[in-house]
Amino acid sequence: MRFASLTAGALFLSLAPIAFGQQAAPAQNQGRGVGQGLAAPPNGAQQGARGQDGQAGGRGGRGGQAAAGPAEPTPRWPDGKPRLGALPGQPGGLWNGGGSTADATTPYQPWAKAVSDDRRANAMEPHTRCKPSGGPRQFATPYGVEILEMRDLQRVYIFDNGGPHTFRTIYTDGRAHPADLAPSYYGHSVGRWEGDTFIVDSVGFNEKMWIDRGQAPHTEKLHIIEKFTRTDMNSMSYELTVEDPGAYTATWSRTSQMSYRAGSELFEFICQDNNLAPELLVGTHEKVDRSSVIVP
Amino acid sequence: MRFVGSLCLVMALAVAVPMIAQEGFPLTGTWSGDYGTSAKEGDRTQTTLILSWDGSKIQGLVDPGPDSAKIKAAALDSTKWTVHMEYDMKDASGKLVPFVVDGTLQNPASRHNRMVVGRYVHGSKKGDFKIKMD
Repeated sequence: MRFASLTAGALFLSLAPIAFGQQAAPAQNQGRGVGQGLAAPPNGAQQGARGQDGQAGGRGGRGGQAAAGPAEPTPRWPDGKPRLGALPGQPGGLWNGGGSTADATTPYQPWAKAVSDDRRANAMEPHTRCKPSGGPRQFATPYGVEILEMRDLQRVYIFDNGGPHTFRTIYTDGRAHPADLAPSYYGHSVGRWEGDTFIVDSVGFNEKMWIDRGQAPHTEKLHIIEKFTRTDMNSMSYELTVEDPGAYTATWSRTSQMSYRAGSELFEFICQDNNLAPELLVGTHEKVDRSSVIVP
Repeated sequence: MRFVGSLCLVMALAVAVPMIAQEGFPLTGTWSGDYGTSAKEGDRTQTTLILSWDGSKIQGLVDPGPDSAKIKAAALDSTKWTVHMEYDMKDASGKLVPFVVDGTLQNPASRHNRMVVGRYVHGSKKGDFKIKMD
């Protein structure tokens, strides 16, 4: 009996922060939030109204400096390779866009088309439940992403600002994908350069997330190739190629554009706080009830 | 004591549910439920199915253990979300006889309430069949 009570107590205490996680806001943030106690982000990345990501501040302003006049040329490393991220001595910069995927021409298997249609009708995206979003969905998070090249460590990191505030690692040391991968949200990514294009090859995705906002269902057989070509200071061509024999009848590709916001920086964004779909986090509801009062 | 046990179970389930989301092929995963010739408790048989999708066909195992059965044929019609499955199960005499399920996939995109509900035929017996994704 004592053991059972202690177990129950421990479980309760472990869950309590989830239900009662409200803490006093730091003094520096008080009075600056936009509803639900959300603090205004620093560095000009302004919070917007609640967006379709189901989180306060969902897809708001992205801050930074908008491009004015002709864009500067592609920034380069001393060896001539394009820089994917910010320049030394500058405050940073974030990339937005690039999340487009499937459309009416996509060679869906019948079940994948039906699931895609269902997703569009019901929009219960894992991202709204603070799940990491692999592949192109990573670039469609609020406020953009930071691409960080760690040349000495031979890897590139792509940091999300929205969602669960996570990152993807792209190995550039020439390694291959492991033979026996445990499926994961971001999968396993390796990168290489071909001319001015950085090519990322990724496999090992799980089926717990969407790779976009719902258009492209996938299975664990998913293999994606992403080609990043920074065409000038503020522009990046993003070409996505999807191979998934579990969901599609053929390989398909899509190209979209990403834009750079110099001066924007990542800030602390915790999806679990201020989430307008708390029921979905614990799996009790099938629909998001946005009519209820949100208590931060 | 019973209250404490129930509390532990509820809390464990609350933690476990978010870990089982399946967003890919709608039948992939572990399913559990029961079937029977009537709703009476004695007429019900518990069942567990582990299903997967290889890109062209549905594969799976029914009731993993000594008397498990492999899925012989299965199909999902995504225009109507109907499900058809065939496998061999032992009848009361121990003889393997075909077990055929025809049902409908309900809440196909739901992570918490996805079910296959329909009818089954097992030799001379038939009744209702219901499984839910774990």
